[in-house]
Amino acid sequence: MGKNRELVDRAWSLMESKNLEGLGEVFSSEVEFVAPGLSLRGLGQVRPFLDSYFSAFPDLQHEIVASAEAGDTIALELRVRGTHRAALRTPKGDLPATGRAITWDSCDFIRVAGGKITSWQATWDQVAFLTQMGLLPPR
Amino acid sequence: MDKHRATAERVFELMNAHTLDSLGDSISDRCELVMPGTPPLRGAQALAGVIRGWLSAFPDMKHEIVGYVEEGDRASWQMRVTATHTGTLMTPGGPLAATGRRVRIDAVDFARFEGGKAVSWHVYFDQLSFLQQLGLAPA
Repeated sequence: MGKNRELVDRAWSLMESKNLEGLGEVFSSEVEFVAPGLSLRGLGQVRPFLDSYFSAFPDLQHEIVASAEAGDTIALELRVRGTHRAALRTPKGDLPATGRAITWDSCDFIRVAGGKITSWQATWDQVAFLTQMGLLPPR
Repeated sequence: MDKHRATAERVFELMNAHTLDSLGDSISDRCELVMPGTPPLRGAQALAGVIRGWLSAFPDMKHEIVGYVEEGDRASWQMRVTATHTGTLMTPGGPLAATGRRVRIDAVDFARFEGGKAVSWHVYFDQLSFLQQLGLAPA
C-alpha cells in the first residue's frame, strides 16, 4: 500500500469516527476541497462542512472499490453509503432529514505534499443523489 | 511512466474529431462502460453510439485531460469537457432543441487496461451541473 493511500485511509477513519479535531494530522491547513456545487479552502472551511455532512449522515461509511496511486496523487473509486438522519446544509439551503438510505458512487482525486493532503476533489452525480433522497423525480 | 495515457488521449482525439470508427483500436469489445444517465454498456461500438448522440447535440465538444494518475493496469484522469449546445439533445424528458448555451463539465474517468485496450471505463460527472448550465434545472 502506498503512502498516499495510508494517509487517505487515516482521513476516512478520522471522519467516520467523528474525530474531526484530528483532521489537522492529515489535511494541510490550506487544503482545497472541491465537490459538486462546493469549493472550499482551508481546514477552517472544510471541518464545519464535514461536521455538517457527518451529522446529516451519522452512519456514513465508504468502500474503496478501486484506487490508482503514483507520485503525489491518488485516485479512488468510492461507494459511499449513509442514512439521511438530519438536515444537510448546502449552499442552496438545508435539506431536511428524509430518513432515506442513500448510496452514491464518487471518484476522488487527492493530492499530497509534505505528508499532508493538500487537495481533495470529489466527483459524483447530484442527480443520482437527490433522486434517491426523493427530491428529484425518478428517471 | 504512464503507459495507458496515450490510449486515453487517442480516444479523446477520435471523439474530438468525430472519427469514432477507430474506437475499437483503443477500447475492447468487452469493455464495461458506466456513466451517469445511461444504462451500463459494453464495447467500443456501444460507446460510439452514445458519443454520436452527444456529438449531434454538441458538435464542437472538446475533451482535455487536466490531471492524470496510473498504477499497474488502472488509470484515472480529470477532464475538462467544453461544448456548445447547437443540435437536438435527446433527454429522458424528450428531445431538447438547441439552446446555444456553452457548457463546461468537470469529469473524472477511472479505467482498467489489458493488452493496450480499455476493458473497463467508468465516467463520473455531475448531471445536475450540466442541466443547470443548459437551463433545465434551477441554478
